[in-house]
This record gives sequence, structure tokens and C-alpha cells, in this order.
Amino acid sequence: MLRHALRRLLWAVPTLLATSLVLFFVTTLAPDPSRVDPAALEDGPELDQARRARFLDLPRFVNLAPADVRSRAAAAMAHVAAADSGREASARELRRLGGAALPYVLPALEALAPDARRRVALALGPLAERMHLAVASDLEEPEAAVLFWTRLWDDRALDFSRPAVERAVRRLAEHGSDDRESDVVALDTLALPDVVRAMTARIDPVTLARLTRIAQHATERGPAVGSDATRVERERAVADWNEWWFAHTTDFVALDGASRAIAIVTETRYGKWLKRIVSGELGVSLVDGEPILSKLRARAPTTLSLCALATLVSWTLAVPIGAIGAWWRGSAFDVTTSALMFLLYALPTFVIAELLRRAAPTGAGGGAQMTLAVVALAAGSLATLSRWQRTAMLEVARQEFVRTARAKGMPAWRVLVVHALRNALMPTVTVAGLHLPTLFGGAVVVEEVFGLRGVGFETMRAIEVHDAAWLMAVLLAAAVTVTLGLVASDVAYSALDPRVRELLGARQGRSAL
Amino acid sequence: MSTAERRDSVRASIAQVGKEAAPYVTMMRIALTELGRSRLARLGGLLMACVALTAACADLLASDLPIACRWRGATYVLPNVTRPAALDGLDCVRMRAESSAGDWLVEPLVGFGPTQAPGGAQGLLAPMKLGHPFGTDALGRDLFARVVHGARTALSLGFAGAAVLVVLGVTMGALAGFAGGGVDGVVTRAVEALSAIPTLLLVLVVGALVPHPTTATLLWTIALTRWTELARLVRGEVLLVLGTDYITAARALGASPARVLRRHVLPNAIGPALVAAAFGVASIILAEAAVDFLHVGAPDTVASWGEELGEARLHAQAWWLIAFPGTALLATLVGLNLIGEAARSALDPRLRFESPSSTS
Repeated sequence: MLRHALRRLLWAVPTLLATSLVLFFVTTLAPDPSRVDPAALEDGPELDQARRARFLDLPRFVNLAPADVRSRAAAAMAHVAAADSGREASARELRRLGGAALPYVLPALEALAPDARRRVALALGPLAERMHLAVASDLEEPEAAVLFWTRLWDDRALDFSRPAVERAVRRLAEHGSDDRESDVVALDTLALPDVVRAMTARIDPVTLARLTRIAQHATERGPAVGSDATRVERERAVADWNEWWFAHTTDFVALDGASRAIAIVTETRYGKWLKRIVSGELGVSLVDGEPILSKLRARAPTTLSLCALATLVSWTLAVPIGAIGAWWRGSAFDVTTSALMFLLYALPTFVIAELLRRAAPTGAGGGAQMTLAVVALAAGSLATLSRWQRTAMLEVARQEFVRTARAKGMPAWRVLVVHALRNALMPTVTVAGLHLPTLFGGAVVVEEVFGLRGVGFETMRAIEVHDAAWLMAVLLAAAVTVTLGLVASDVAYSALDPRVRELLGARQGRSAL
Repeated sequence: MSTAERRDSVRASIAQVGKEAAPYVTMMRIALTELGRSRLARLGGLLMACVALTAACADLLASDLPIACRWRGATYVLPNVTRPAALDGLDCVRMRAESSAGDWLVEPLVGFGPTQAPGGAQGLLAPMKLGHPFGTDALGRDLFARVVHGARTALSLGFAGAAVLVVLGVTMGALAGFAGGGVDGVVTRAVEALSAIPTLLLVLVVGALVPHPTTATLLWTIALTRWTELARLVRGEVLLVLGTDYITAARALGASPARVLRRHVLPNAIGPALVAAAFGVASIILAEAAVDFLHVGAPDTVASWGEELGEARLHAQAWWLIAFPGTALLATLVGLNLIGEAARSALDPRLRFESPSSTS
């Protein structure tokens, strides 16, 4: 049985992947910021930020030529060297890539024509100042700049090697001092992978302050916390840096060998999006800036208890109504409940909720609101479930074994409850899982009508401000819950039904007993 | 004997057998008879006929322009449908007040259009009175006109969406069942994935993310995600049929896969498709009403029941805002569900030939 459950759970993985594809498609519906608002094009960095945060520059599913620091640096250098129309932007790009680009730019300097070499060396000037390697005025002369950069590479190439960088950051993280900090500052963006990793690992305020300061200095963006920052500020800053690093990793890291092969799949919009979701990074709410995950955790209990209570109420009513109606088919009870259930089935949940809200005395407390919400939500499920139950019972009531039980002289209620109902419950258990999506949809409406501050209520607020991150998270949470619910109801079905149990036992090569 | 001759002789013998055989009853015939005999189906049909008639004649029941009129020397027939430019800016009230000698007009039942707001503070949220049989809403629009034109919106949306849904569902289901293997796997995964997403939530989210959401967005969202149930049914049906002897016989006779699919497999899918269509129309009408009720985005339809119901939330004293659109919505949904339910039981032999043994 456990094996069956596990196998069933494993089968849910491709389903969830397919769901993620659907949801990814939904995210692509959100407009590209550069197309919606032409005015936004003017403030370049912010727009770029917004696009990068959603990986809009990447291809959707396959990236045959993932860009990394090497290709970016080479492209920027080519533009600067050729002194074409893109040289201004490329000079900025070189500055942005920073120290991480030097191991690819400086060795290539030799190969350039003297004029081109001078132009590139000049373009690197601001970078030298940022890295505290030289003063800008010393590098204004092209020949001096070329000489400086060539010498730097000849003398200090080893400092720019991976192990050296790792060591520098590790030493800073372990025993922070101003000297060690300036060592890392001199490495500029080359140290970012280790700096960001160290930020996540370490919560010691002083070191964190140093690390964020370095990162801010190198990237000329992002928050730097003081050593006296509060815990929340620190967490937010680290989250911000992680988020940024996730979107910009390949700007500062070179892809070689295996990482390049993997990047074909991961350096895509879908790959990045999926990776982020799987690692639980759902982003921040647009409504109040709260992290989505913690907000979801705060709101979920209301919605889940609403759904659970509604399910409980509808089951306890639906099973007897459906079963009794089917057993005494055509009786006054059956006709009345059938008609009533049919009406309830056709009545939209939002109309039921609205009617209930009007019927309630004004100024009713939170408890009363919750009760009414449960009733409104249960009403819809009740209609569906009782009709299923009735159909299932009709099926079972015709069976030979029921007639035999009656013929033996068993009391009617015993046949009904013990023989018939037990079998008639099975199909209802199976379809109960299928009913979950409708239940979640209803919960949104009901929460909105009764003002219960659950996930649905927050979703409506998120819709008002087009908060894509929250909406995605909610869809995802609903889809995962439903998929798991289906697995659970499937497993419950096979656990309850001896025939299926036997079948499974036989398939696994064990004795049917 | 050449191939063509042989084929002709086979055809002739088949025709002969067809003539000699006793008249047979098809499954479709049985189901239709059963459907006609069911009282509930007839009730549903009657309800839907009423709604459809209302939708078709919406302009005759409520419009800002008359059904026919003579105005400034010219005669107009059905100006409320054709909308001649000469009558631009006019409406029944003004025409009545400004009519000169020789002008006449045949007014519709209610002389207000669904989007027309006659104005005046006393016209807002007015209860039922002469001229406004259902009262007016918070913008002063005539509720009768809005309910009547809402029927048109609901039915056209519902049927358009259901058409897409049925075509997709039958195609995907047949494809999965008939092709099997990898195709089946992909379709099955897609069905599972899509049915895990709550429709209402998805519709709301898509409406919020798309830059300019329209009712068409909603329609496509539902049609493209709700074909799953039908596809599941059709796939099951196809798999069931493929195992039968008559398929083997058809194949043995040399029928091409396309012919087997078209002549022998797909007709079995008509039943589930009809049932799914009825419920599909209902679910689209319901979703549209729910979205408008929640006031997500600006409504772009002429009139919608859900929009009026949503207004009712803000104006608790205006009971007519919930009563009339609510009844219209309920009647439509009940009608569709009755038809769908009756079609389902008419097509399901197990539900049809029920022995009354359990009732004692």
C-alpha cells in the first residue's frame, strides 16, 4: 500500500511539471514593461531591472548560446575597440561588469591594434578608480592607461584567480578588518559570488555590514546595511541581494564545461522561473512589500479552515441526504431534496453568499461572518456531493448482494448503512478530490463577500494592483494542493476498497491475502 | 474481376443486406426518444427556449429606439436593430416629446436601452414603477433592459465558449485515445495539470495580468482550460470502442484509420460532447457572472447579470438589483443543468433501465 502511495506520488511529479508549464505560460501573459509604457524606456536602469527580474531577455525554453561574463565582456570590448555607435553603452557595460570582466579583457588587450587598445584602456579608467587601483587623473593619458592595465595583469594576474578570490572573501568573513575589506574591494565584482554566498551564511551584523558595503560598492546598486541595523532590515537586505544575484549571476560568472551545458536549460525564462519557485523564492508582495511566502503562511489558515469546515459540513449532510434519497427513491423526501439540491447546484456561490450576508443582522462579529461563510461555501459542495452520493447509492442499491441481505431478513437500516452505504461511499471519495478546485474558487468569492482576511481576500487586493508575484504564488499553491489532494483521494480509495487493494497486492507479486 | 468491380459488388451486397435487415434503432435515436420523454429535460428545454427567445428579441423588448417609426417624413422599420444615422442622439422619450404632426412610433415594451442612463437624481436606484418595470440601477439604467440584454450576452458568450471547448475536448480526447503512446501520455498529463487549477482563480489572475482584459480573454481562458473533462470522457469512450469487435471487423475490411475514427469511433463521442456542451455553457455563464460580480476590470459587455449582482453588494436596500438578474441567471443555469443532466442519463443505459427493486 505504501508502495502504491509512493508510486502515485511519483506520478504527480510530471503532472506538477505540466502544471508549472501552464502557469509559466500565464506569467508570460503579463506585459513586457518596455512595450506597455514607452515613457519607461527613458529611465534605462530601472526598466532593465524590471525586465531582468522577470528574465525577459532570455529565451523561453532553450538557450543555445547562454551569455556569461566572458561573452558580455568580449562584446562590449569589441564595441569600444571599434569605436562604433554602441561604444558609450559598451563602456558603461564594461564598468558594470567590473572586476569580473578583467580576466577576459586584459589578456585580450595585447591582441588589439594600438588605437583600439588605447580606447579600451581609457574606457576601463573609471573601473580602476572604483577598484582603488589608481586615481582617474593618472589614467587620462591613453599610453599611461595601456601601460597601467598591461602591468596590472602581468603583476597581479594571480590575485584574480578563483582560489585567491575565495581566500580573500573567506578571510574577510572570518576575521573582518578594514585591510581585508579593501582587499576584497580591489577585486570588485569578481568577488561577488563569494560575497553573496557569505551574506546568506553569516548573520553577524558587522561582517554583514562589510559584505553589503562591498557588494554595493562593486555593483553601484542595492542596499548596504549599517552594523546597527535591525534584524528585519538585515534579512530584507540579504533577500534583496540574493534576488539580484539570482537574476544577474551570469553577468559576473563564466560558464565552462558542465555549467555551460546545464545553462542551455537553466538560463532560460522557464528554467529561471521554475528554479526560483522550487527554491521557495516567491518574491515580495506589491501590496505591502511583505515576502509572499510569509504572507501566504499567515493567510492560509483562514482559507484552509474555511474550506475544511465547509467540506466537513457538506459531507455530513450530503452523505445521508444522497443515500436516503436513493434508497427510498421517488419518496417525498427524495423528490424534495433532489429538487432542492438541484436548485442549490445551479445557484452560484456568490449569490448564496450575498443572500446570506443580507440575511445576517448588521454588525455581526467575526465568528458569525465565518459561520455564514462556511454555510455559503458548504451549500455549493453539498449540492454536488449529495448528487454524486445519490447516483452512487442508486448503483449499489441494485446490486445482488443488497437484495440478498434484504432477503435474509436483515433490518433495512442495517442493509442501508453496513452493506450499501459502505460501497456507495467509494465513488464519492474519489470524486471529492476533483471537487477541490471548485472549492478554492468558491473560497475566493466567499472571503471577498464576507471580508474574511484569507488568501482569497488578499488575492482580490492583489488583482487590484496587478501583483503578479502573489497571483502566481496563489495559483501555484492551489494547483499543488489540488494535485496532492487527488493523490490522497486516490490512495484513500485504494486503501478503502478491498478489490483494488487485492489488485495492487497481486500486481506487486504478493499473495492476495 | 478488377478492383473497382470487386468493390462495387461488395457495395451492392452491403446495400442489399441493409435493405433486407430489420430497421434498427441507433443509440442516438434511443437517447433522443428518452430525452423527449423526460419531463425534466422538457422543463429545461422550455426554460432555455424562454431565455433564448428573450436574447433573440432583446431589442424588441427593451431599446432606446422604437420598433418602427415615422420621423421627420421618413419611415424607419426596426431602427433599434439597424441604427440609422438619422436617428442618432434620439431616444424614445425625446421622440415622444418632440414628435410633430405625421410622426408616429411603435415603442418597444420598455423604451430604454441597456446602456442608456436617463439621468435625474430620482432615476438612480429607483424601485419598480411605470416605464421601469424592474426599477433602475445605481447609474440610472433600466434594469429590465439590462436583464433582457444580459441574456444575449450570457448566451452568446456561453455558446461561443462551449463550441471551442467541445471541439478541443473531442479532438484531444480522440487523439489521445486513438494515437496512444506518447501522445496519450502528453494529453493525459495536460488534462491532469489543467484540471488542478481552479477555473475562477485562473480567470481572475489572467484578467489581472493581461494588459487589456476583455470578455474574450475570459472566454478563451475558460475554453482553453476546461476541455479537460470532456477529453477525459472522450478518451475513455474511444478506448472502450477500440476494443470492440466491430472495430476489428472494420479494420479487417480494410478501413483506413481515418475512416475508423470518423465513422466508427467519433460518433460515440457525440453523447459526452453534448452533455459537456450543456455544462460548459453553464460554467462559462457562471464564471462570467462571478468575474463581473467581483468587479474585476471594467465590464466591456453591453449588459451583464453579474455586473448588476455586483452592484447589489453596494446597495443593500435595492433588492430588485439582486432579485431580477439573480432569477434570470438561476433560470438559465437550472435550464442548462436540467438539459445536461437529462442528456447524461438518457445516454447512460445504466441510469435508464433502473430496476425498482430497492424501493419497497
